[in-house]
Amino acid sequence: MTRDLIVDVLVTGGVAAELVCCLGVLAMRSAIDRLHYAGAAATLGPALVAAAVCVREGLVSSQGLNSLLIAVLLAFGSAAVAGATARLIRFRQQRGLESTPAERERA
Amino acid sequence: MNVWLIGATVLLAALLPCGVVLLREPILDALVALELATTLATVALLLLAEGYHRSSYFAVPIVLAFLNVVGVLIFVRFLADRRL
Repeated sequence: MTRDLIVDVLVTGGVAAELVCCLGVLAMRSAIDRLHYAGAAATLGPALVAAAVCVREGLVSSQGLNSLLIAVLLAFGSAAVAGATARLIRFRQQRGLESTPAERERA
Repeated sequence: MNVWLIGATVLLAALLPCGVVLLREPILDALVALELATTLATVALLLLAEGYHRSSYFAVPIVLAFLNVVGVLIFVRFLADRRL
Protein backbone atom coordinates (compact mmCIF):
# COMPACT_ATOMS: atom_id res chain seq x y z
CA MET A 1 0.00 0.00 0.00
CA THR A 2 2.75 2.43 1.00
CA ARG A 3 4.84 1.25 -1.91
CA ASP A 4 1.98 1.94 -4.33
CA LEU A 5 1.63 5.44 -2.90
CA ILE A 6 5.35 6.11 -3.34
CA VAL A 7 5.20 4.84 -6.92
CA ASP A 8 2.21 7.05 -7.69
CA VAL A 9 3.93 10.11 -6.23
CA LEU A 10 7.16 9.44 -8.15
CA VAL A 11 5.40 8.87 -11.47
CA THR A 12 3.21 11.94 -11.01
CA GLY A 13 6.26 14.02 -10.09
CA GLY A 14 8.18 12.79 -13.13
CA VAL A 15 5.32 13.52 -15.51
CA ALA A 16 4.74 16.92 -13.90
CA ALA A 17 8.42 17.79 -14.31
CA GLU A 18 8.24 16.90 -17.99
CA LEU A 19 5.10 19.02 -18.41
CA VAL A 20 6.72 22.04 -16.75
CA CYS A 21 9.73 21.73 -19.04
CA CYS A 22 7.44 21.40 -22.04
CA LEU A 23 5.59 24.57 -21.07
CA GLY A 24 8.92 26.30 -20.51
CA VAL A 25 10.07 25.45 -24.03
CA LEU A 26 6.77 26.78 -25.35
CA ALA A 27 6.87 30.00 -23.31
CA MET A 28 10.51 31.06 -23.65
CA ARG A 29 11.54 33.35 -26.47
CA SER A 30 15.20 32.53 -27.19
CA ALA A 31 16.78 29.21 -28.15
CA ILE A 32 19.24 29.31 -25.23
CA ASP A 33 16.40 29.79 -22.73
CA ARG A 34 14.52 26.90 -24.32
CA LEU A 35 17.64 24.75 -24.13
CA HIS A 36 17.67 25.06 -20.32
CA TYR A 37 14.20 23.53 -20.13
CA ALA A 38 15.03 20.80 -22.64
CA GLY A 39 18.06 19.84 -20.56
CA ALA A 40 16.04 19.75 -17.35
CA ALA A 41 13.46 17.49 -19.02
CA ALA A 42 16.16 14.89 -19.69
CA THR A 43 17.38 14.73 -16.09
CA LEU A 44 14.67 15.20 -13.46
CA GLY A 45 11.67 13.51 -15.11
CA PRO A 46 13.41 10.31 -16.27
CA ALA A 47 15.18 10.00 -12.89
CA LEU A 48 11.86 10.14 -11.01
CA VAL A 49 10.22 7.64 -13.36
CA ALA A 50 13.23 5.31 -13.09
CA ALA A 51 13.02 5.59 -9.30
CA ALA A 52 9.35 4.65 -9.49
CA VAL A 53 10.15 1.57 -11.58
CA CYS A 54 12.88 0.58 -9.10
CA VAL A 55 10.51 0.97 -6.15
CA ARG A 56 7.88 -1.18 -7.85
CA GLU A 57 10.10 -3.89 -9.36
CA GLY A 58 13.19 -3.73 -7.16
CA LEU A 59 16.58 -2.32 -8.04
CA VAL A 60 18.10 -5.64 -9.10
CA SER A 61 15.55 -6.62 -11.71
CA SER A 62 15.39 -6.43 -15.46
CA GLN A 63 12.94 -3.54 -15.43
CA GLY A 64 14.77 -1.64 -12.69
CA LEU A 65 18.19 -1.90 -14.35
CA ASN A 66 16.75 -1.04 -17.76
CA SER A 67 15.01 2.05 -16.42
CA LEU A 68 18.19 3.16 -14.66
CA LEU A 69 20.12 2.70 -17.90
CA ILE A 70 17.58 4.85 -19.73
CA ALA A 71 17.77 7.60 -17.10
CA VAL A 72 21.58 7.61 -17.22
CA LEU A 73 21.64 7.57 -21.03
CA LEU A 74 19.23 10.49 -21.17
CA ALA A 75 21.07 12.52 -18.53
CA PHE A 76 24.58 12.13 -19.99
CA GLY A 77 23.41 12.21 -23.60
CA SER A 78 21.42 15.36 -22.94
CA ALA A 79 24.48 17.04 -21.42
CA ALA A 80 26.54 16.30 -24.53
CA VAL A 81 23.77 17.35 -26.87
CA ALA A 82 23.02 20.55 -24.93
CA GLY A 83 26.68 21.56 -25.08
CA ALA A 84 26.85 21.00 -28.83
CA THR A 85 23.55 22.80 -29.41
CA ALA A 86 24.58 25.77 -27.25
CA ARG A 87 27.82 26.10 -29.23
CA LEU A 88 25.85 26.01 -32.46
CA ILE A 89 23.40 28.65 -31.23
CA ARG A 90 26.25 30.89 -30.10
CA PHE A 91 28.14 30.41 -33.34
CA ARG A 92 25.16 31.28 -35.51
CA GLN A 93 24.03 34.24 -33.44
CA GLN A 94 27.46 35.86 -32.85
CA ARG A 95 29.30 34.51 -35.93
CA GLY A 96 31.90 33.03 -33.59
CA LEU A 97 32.48 31.62 -30.12
CA GLU A 98 34.53 34.50 -28.72
CA SER A 99 32.98 36.78 -26.12
CA THR A 100 31.93 40.25 -27.20
CA PRO A 101 33.52 43.40 -25.67
CA ALA A 102 30.32 44.05 -23.70
CA GLU A 103 30.45 40.53 -22.23
CA ARG A 104 34.12 40.91 -21.33
CA GLU A 105 33.32 44.17 -19.58
CA ARG A 106 30.55 42.52 -17.57
CA ALA A 107 32.84 39.66 -16.52
CA MET B 1 -5.78 2.10 -16.86
CA ASN B 2 -3.06 2.60 -14.24
CA VAL B 3 -0.86 5.54 -13.31
CA TRP B 4 1.83 4.46 -15.78
CA LEU B 5 -0.49 4.49 -18.76
CA ILE B 6 -2.09 7.76 -17.67
CA GLY B 7 1.38 9.32 -17.41
CA ALA B 8 2.31 8.01 -20.86
CA THR B 9 -0.88 9.50 -22.32
CA VAL B 10 -0.15 12.87 -20.73
CA LEU B 11 3.39 12.85 -22.10
CA LEU B 12 2.14 11.98 -25.58
CA ALA B 13 -0.22 14.95 -25.35
CA ALA B 14 2.76 17.08 -24.29
CA LEU B 15 4.29 16.42 -27.70
CA LEU B 16 1.79 18.91 -29.17
CA PRO B 17 3.50 22.05 -27.74
CA CYS B 18 6.80 20.71 -29.08
CA GLY B 19 5.16 20.38 -32.49
CA VAL B 20 3.97 23.99 -32.29
CA VAL B 21 7.52 25.20 -31.59
CA LEU B 22 8.89 22.93 -34.33
CA LEU B 23 6.55 24.35 -36.94
CA ARG B 24 6.42 28.02 -35.99
CA GLU B 25 9.81 29.03 -34.58
CA PRO B 26 13.28 29.47 -36.21
CA ILE B 27 15.36 26.42 -36.93
CA LEU B 28 17.56 26.57 -33.79
CA ASP B 29 14.48 26.74 -31.56
CA ALA B 30 13.01 23.87 -33.55
CA LEU B 31 16.14 21.82 -32.88
CA VAL B 32 15.73 22.36 -29.14
CA ALA B 33 12.07 21.37 -29.41
CA LEU B 34 13.12 18.23 -31.27
CA GLU B 35 15.46 17.31 -28.40
CA LEU B 36 12.64 17.75 -25.93
CA ALA B 37 10.21 15.76 -28.07
CA THR B 38 12.64 12.82 -28.22
CA THR B 39 13.06 12.93 -24.45
CA LEU B 40 9.30 13.00 -23.95
CA ALA B 41 8.84 10.06 -26.32
CA THR B 42 11.54 8.07 -24.49
CA VAL B 43 9.92 8.61 -21.09
CA ALA B 44 6.48 7.84 -22.52
CA LEU B 45 7.78 4.54 -23.93
CA LEU B 46 9.37 3.76 -20.55
CA LEU B 47 6.03 4.38 -18.85
CA LEU B 48 4.21 2.21 -21.41
CA ALA B 49 6.68 -0.64 -20.95
CA GLU B 50 6.16 -0.60 -17.18
CA GLY B 51 2.43 -0.03 -17.54
CA TYR B 52 2.01 -3.13 -19.68
CA HIS B 53 4.49 -4.98 -17.45
CA ARG B 54 6.52 -6.40 -20.35
CA SER B 55 10.26 -6.36 -19.80
CA SER B 56 10.96 -6.83 -23.51
CA TYR B 57 9.33 -3.48 -24.26
CA PHE B 58 12.16 -1.72 -22.39
CA ALA B 59 14.45 -2.25 -25.37
CA VAL B 60 12.62 0.44 -27.36
CA PRO B 61 13.25 3.41 -25.01
CA ILE B 62 16.85 2.29 -24.53
CA VAL B 63 17.47 2.42 -28.27
CA LEU B 64 15.62 5.74 -28.57
CA ALA B 65 17.65 7.28 -25.73
CA PHE B 66 20.83 6.32 -27.56
CA LEU B 67 19.58 7.49 -30.96
CA ASN B 68 18.54 10.82 -29.44
CA VAL B 69 22.20 11.74 -28.97
CA VAL B 70 23.26 10.53 -32.40
CA GLY B 71 20.36 12.16 -34.22
CA VAL B 72 20.70 15.59 -32.63
CA LEU B 73 24.48 15.63 -33.11
CA ILE B 74 23.94 14.93 -36.81
CA PHE B 75 21.50 17.86 -36.99
CA VAL B 76 24.02 20.08 -35.18
CA ARG B 77 26.75 19.06 -37.61
CA PHE B 78 24.72 19.89 -40.70
CA LEU B 79 23.22 23.08 -39.28
CA ALA B 80 26.73 24.35 -38.51
CA ASP B 81 27.55 24.15 -42.22
CA ARG B 82 24.31 25.72 -43.35
CA ARG B 83 24.37 29.44 -44.19
CA LEU B 84 21.97 31.72 -42.32
